[in-house]
Amino acid sequence: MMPVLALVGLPGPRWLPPVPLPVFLLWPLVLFCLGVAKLMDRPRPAEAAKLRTFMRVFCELRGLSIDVETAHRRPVRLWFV
Amino acid sequence: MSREREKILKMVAEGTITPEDGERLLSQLDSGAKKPLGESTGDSGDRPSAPLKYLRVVVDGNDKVNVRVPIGLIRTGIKLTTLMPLSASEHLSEHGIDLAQFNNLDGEELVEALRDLKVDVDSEDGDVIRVFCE
Repeated sequence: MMPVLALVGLPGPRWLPPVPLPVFLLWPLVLFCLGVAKLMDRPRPAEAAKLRTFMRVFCELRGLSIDVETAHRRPVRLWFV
Repeated sequence: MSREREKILKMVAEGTITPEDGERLLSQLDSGAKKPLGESTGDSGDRPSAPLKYLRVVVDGNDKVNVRVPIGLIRTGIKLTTLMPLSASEHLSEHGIDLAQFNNLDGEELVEALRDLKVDVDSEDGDVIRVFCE
């Protein structure tokens, strides 16, 4: 499913304050790119397939979470919801 | 965005519940929404056919890593090998790795194979690495 928000913040009991990135604003762009891929299908099939694959990957991002550590050993989570 | 999802996110943002609790609630919400498709009614205990949702990579020790990748992303992501530059593919094939085989791989087949995936590594520097699906 397409992600709605990407939350960036420090995980833990006091997860303050996660920064919400409005990923849903990219939804029209995805539709546009899929339209472009359709138009490109005949003249440039390879490029169209690449574009379509990128868009499909974006559409499956919901649920992906990645925890990383900053240089100060503080955990930061990137979470697509 | 559904009202329930919005409410959970708001509670996480306000600090009312922990992100882990929020994650669990969102997962329950997702699985609840998918129930009619999966027909997973009834408590049959240990169900081997329960759908996989995430591939987890967890590293404990000096390095901390916690990655949760949705299975749907993997299913779609195997097609990304087609985007790899030709030179990189050639370099890998020199080492006996043929990425072209991924193109012939069925997504469901891969997910079924991942069901039994379990990797546990205890490294010399004390890191414990676990890769599994849930």
